[in-house]
Amino acid sequence: MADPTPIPVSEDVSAAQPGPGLGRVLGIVAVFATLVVIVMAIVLRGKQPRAAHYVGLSMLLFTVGALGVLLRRNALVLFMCVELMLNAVNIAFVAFARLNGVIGGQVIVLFVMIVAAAEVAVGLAIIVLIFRRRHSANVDDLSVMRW
Amino acid sequence: MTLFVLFGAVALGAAVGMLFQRNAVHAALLLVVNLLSVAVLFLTLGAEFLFVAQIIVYAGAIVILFLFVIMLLGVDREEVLTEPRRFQTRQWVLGGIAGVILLAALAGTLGGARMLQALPGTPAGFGSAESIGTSLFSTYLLPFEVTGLLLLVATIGILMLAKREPR
Repeated sequence: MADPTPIPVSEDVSAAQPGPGLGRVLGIVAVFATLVVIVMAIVLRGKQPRAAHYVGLSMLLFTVGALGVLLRRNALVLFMCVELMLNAVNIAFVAFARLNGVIGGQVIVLFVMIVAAAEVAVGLAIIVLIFRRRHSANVDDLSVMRW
Repeated sequence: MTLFVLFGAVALGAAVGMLFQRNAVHAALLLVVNLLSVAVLFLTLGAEFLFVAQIIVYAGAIVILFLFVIMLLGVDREEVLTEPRRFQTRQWVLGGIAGVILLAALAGTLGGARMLQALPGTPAGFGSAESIGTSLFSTYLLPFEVTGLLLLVATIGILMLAKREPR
């Protein structure tokens, strides 16, 4: 019996297996980042954070959420990333409310939460309906408006 | 500053983890971590009511809804949980470019000397349920009524969507 020819592995399958290199690098980066954060927390413990710090964090979180919406393909994860973006904006609202001493910023955060809840409920209902028909949660499969 | 650095780092780390996590359930759990640390940041800014509302509404309701839908679609089904592949080189490059452009565009908000001054002290009761409620039912009464309408419309819409078509 001849040797079975190696089945050509498509790029998708081979890439899905966890590479030994990437995981180790990510682990080292995570440990290093944790140490940096602890050192920063100790060094900066006396000072008060400024509005710029909160707005900067809000910026970073918003960017991560936007990249998630752009890069991820799973419809559920896409919605989670939208929540991340809404939440990032909430931080900026609360920071500015504190900076200006105006309660309106916090009231608007409450409205954002309500709208987010309504949006998630309707969006998830639509995803469930799509999944019933297409058996897929991948947004790349949803390229037609009518089927 | 200690609280800000610790919980800000946890929030950012959870968000980045969500970006790279291919399992949808794990992504939802990372979202809970992110939302809870943001709730603590709200507390450090003096927004006590929003701290509680964030935990109840976001972590308690929205993420549970996500997990509920994941379970409903089938937690053991491959196509629900994971993405077909990791990010490819093209996605890394284009995503990096898009991220840098977005950060550069948003960095304009950081200007201004006022942003770097110490945060002013707040009057007593700032951010409490009472002050938010007073504001909500006086200055922001019309938007508040409109959100009530929005929730009603959303409820009716979901009922229409969930209704099975008669055979």
